[in-house]
Amino acid sequence: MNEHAELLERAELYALGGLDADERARFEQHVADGCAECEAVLRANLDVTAQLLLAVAPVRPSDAVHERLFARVRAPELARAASSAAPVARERSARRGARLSRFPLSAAAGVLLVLGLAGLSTLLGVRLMRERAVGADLEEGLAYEESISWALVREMESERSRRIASERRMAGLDRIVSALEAPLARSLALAGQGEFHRATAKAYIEPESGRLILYASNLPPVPDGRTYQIWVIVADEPRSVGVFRSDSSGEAKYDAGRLQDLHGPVTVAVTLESEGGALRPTGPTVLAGS
Amino acid sequence: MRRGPPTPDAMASSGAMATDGDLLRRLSEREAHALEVLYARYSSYVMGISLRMLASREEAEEVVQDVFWQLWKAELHYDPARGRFSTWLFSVARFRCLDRLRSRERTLPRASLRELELTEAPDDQEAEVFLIEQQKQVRAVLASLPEEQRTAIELAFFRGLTHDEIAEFTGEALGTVKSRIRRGLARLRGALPNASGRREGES
Repeated sequence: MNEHAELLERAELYALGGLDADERARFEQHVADGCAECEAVLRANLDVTAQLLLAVAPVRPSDAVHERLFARVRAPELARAASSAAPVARERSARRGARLSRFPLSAAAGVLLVLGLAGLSTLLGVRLMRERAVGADLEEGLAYEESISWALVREMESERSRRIASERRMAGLDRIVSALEAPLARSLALAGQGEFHRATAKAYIEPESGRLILYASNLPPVPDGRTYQIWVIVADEPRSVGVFRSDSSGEAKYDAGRLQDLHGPVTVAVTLESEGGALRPTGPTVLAGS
Repeated sequence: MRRGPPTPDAMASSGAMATDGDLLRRLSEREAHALEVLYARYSSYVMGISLRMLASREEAEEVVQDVFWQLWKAELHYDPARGRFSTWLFSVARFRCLDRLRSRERTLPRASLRELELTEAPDDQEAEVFLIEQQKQVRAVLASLPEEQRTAIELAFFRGLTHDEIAEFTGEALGTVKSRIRRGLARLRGALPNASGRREGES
């Protein structure tokens, strides 16, 4: 099969989102190189797949999301207010403002903005890119400050996503090992509760990366229409980590990332919920440990 | 996203009645209120999609925040020629979710198929008429697909599974999976109107 025929066969899956990163990159390159047939098939299918999203029921995000988002959006106004308190900054701001009228921020104000963003981010617990929070804030500050650097930042951004994608591919199972070996990883034993008293589990927590891995055994198979759901409870506030089932031998593994606030005391619990999971724990507690 | 001077009609229209186009123009002028209106209009949809795909409220809310933040930062590039803003925005959210799903350990027990079944829309008075009508139509068309075609499409679409993974998941031959997806999409194409409301070839 030549490359075109092979890629054409994948156009539908590309539109659906089921290609891995390598396949996606190859397909995109092929279309970018000017293959009209693949592009036509892709467009026709993208049109359909975009509409599939409308089948999903809307759910209102919590107010905290709105608060965090708009605190960030309005952060430059605060930085600007801070800059007008500094005479030197104001003077430079005016000079530069003439040159870049749409980005009337001086270098000093830019620094203030970056500091302001970083400070606000910490304060509000906003971490858009947890892995490189400070770097990301710096980049955002720069992007706002200089229109010229937009292209550069985007380039960095796409370079970084390429690198992250490749790291992810390479890492595979190694990630679990390294997560377990990380000096900051903590482990937590979970005990079976009530009728699930024979079940046991161990949770490994890596607060820095917000990673949690749960290994459970002696978990009975879930009844029809039910699922196990993992919760992380910080300061009496349960947050869903995800849903899972046990395999035929009663074992299960769940690996979650990007959880927040795992530095302090944490309780990890598993409950039995209706299929698809619940927004708050409602079912019987299966496993728990602090 | 282009930064142009605000047009008089964009200046005149404010609040909930403004069109997406007006709001996007005002967004490019860095008017935070325009983002507020877009957020009120679409954040529930982005959240619903993300929650369905990620099964984690926390991660879904991160996606909502990321998507609207990037919209504000003009890091996302919407081309009006390619369709409605809302369908484009939801696609962006889906790709964010797929990225997150792929970054998770691939051996974790997969969410069950039943989880993918369609749920009823809540009684949301604020939602746009367009979306509600589209939603009804898409659900009806999806429900009309043969079960195995719908399952294959949903596994690819909501879980980001490859041909091979779907074959493994359903225990079917690879060729069967490919033809089910192809046939299912062909049926959807035939039954659904063009998302952009334009015919192929028109600019």
